[in-house]
Amino acid sequence: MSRRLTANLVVGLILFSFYATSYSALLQQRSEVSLTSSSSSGIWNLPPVALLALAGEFKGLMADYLTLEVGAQLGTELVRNPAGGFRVVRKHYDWPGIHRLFVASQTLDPSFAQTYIVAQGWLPWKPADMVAKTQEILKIATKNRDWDWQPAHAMGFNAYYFLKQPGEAGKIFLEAAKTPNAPPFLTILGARLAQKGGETEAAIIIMKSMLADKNSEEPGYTDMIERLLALEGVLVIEQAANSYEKARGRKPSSLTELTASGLLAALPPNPYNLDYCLDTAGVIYFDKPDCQASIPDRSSR
Amino acid sequence: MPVRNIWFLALATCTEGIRHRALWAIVCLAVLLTMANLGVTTLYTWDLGKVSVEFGLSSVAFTGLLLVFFLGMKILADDLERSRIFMLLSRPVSIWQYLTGKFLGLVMILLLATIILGLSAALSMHYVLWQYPAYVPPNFSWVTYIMALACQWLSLVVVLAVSVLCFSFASQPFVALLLAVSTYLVGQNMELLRRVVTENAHAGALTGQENLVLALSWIFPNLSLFDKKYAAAYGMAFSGQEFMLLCLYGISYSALLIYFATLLFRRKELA
Repeated sequence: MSRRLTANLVVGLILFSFYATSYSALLQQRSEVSLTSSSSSGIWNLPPVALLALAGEFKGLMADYLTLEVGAQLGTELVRNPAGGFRVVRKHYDWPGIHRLFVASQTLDPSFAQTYIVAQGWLPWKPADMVAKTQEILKIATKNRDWDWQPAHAMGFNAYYFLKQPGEAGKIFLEAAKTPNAPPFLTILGARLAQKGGETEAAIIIMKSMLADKNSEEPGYTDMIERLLALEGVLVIEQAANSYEKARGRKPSSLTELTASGLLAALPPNPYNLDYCLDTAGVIYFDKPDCQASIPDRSSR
Repeated sequence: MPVRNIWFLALATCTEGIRHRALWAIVCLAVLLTMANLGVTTLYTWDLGKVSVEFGLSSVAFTGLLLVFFLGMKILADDLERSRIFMLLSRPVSIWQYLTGKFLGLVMILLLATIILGLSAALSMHYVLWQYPAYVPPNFSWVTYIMALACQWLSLVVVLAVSVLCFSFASQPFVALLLAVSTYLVGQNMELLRRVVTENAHAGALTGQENLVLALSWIFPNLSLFDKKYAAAYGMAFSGQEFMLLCLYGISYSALLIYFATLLFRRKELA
């Protein structure tokens, strides 16, 4: 009896040791593998059509899961110090893999806010530096969330801040402002940026179309009217400056020179009670009277 | 008389299903999944309403599929294995009445399960939407949710009809189950396949096979058309006309399958 018990114990111990060794080796191997390796493999690397086919009627649920997977991979990792407290581990992210997760999630559910918001929070910034890819994600979100102004707002921000394209940013902001319940500041901001980027006429057309649908009692309506008048003033000056350049072969050096040429009888009124200003590059400002700091030009209204 | 026979069989099948322990196990799982909805939703930062609605409806779909593939198949197979079918067919019950009665009984079980699961999911969703009002989809409507739930049930009814058809000619219940699951997978992707081939000039081996795919889309059930989780989750209303057409499609397709199942079942070796 005791011999059988001993034999059983020995076999049990051997089996347990085998199990413990193999499992701890497996855990060790997994801890050595980069944290990001899981993002660079998996079914989400499949082409979008295959992914859709696999998900079947549970596309939305799979998209939810993928955003959780992204969330688990991003963020700060804290490790407990032996002496107490914590230290931050500098993680190495596999950005192309993480981007693929975002794309997979968006393929499955193109309207999911979590995908585009988390993507905007990480991808365009250093070290990921994937502005163009983020814009693609935001473009899809904008198209599929016609009730939400925020994806277009993020797109406009990226165009202005990362891509240095104020005109493009302005146009995007103005498009975002057309969304129901969009805050009035989008119109004002969009108009300003569009004008700075040389898109004055486009900005005026978009603003006029937006004002046509608005009630004068709505918040921000007066601000929009003022911005529209300022842009119309800028456009009048721009057109005169272009005529001047065609006639004289050079840009006017100041607004005084432009009015003195007879091509512009008088400067249009500025609703902000400021002087228009023409800088050395030929850009006209309605909100920066001292733009030509080296050549003072104070055109009076 | 035929209607009475069918009604009797449907009622008996429904009662048998309700008495089956498997049904209650599946319902318990569904209730757990629905309760999990409350926990899962809090893992997200945005679109909590969408996650909640999607999770709730997916629970209904998942549990419904379990009911069709396991409970439905088991109830059908039990009649053959326990030779109860001979007792029924020796009475003035024809094969078509037997299959229709069984099918309708299982449809009633599915309806009951969908109502219970839909209500349970709706309760958890209502809690989430009440707790986080800022994340309620702008056009969310309970009417759309109910319509999506009804579409889900119709989809399950079609899958059930497919299972009955497979059962009618397969030699073993396991083979019938495999065939039904495969048809379900094909049906879920039929619309995708149809669109890939018709809208994409570079569809690989399927390029130029539009007619074949079109023919297949008429043979296999187009189950993805019934999937309205996305619409319900984002509050995108779908028209009453579309809903009616879906109902007609589901009913007509199921009726056709049951008819074919009757024809095939007559040729089946029952002994």
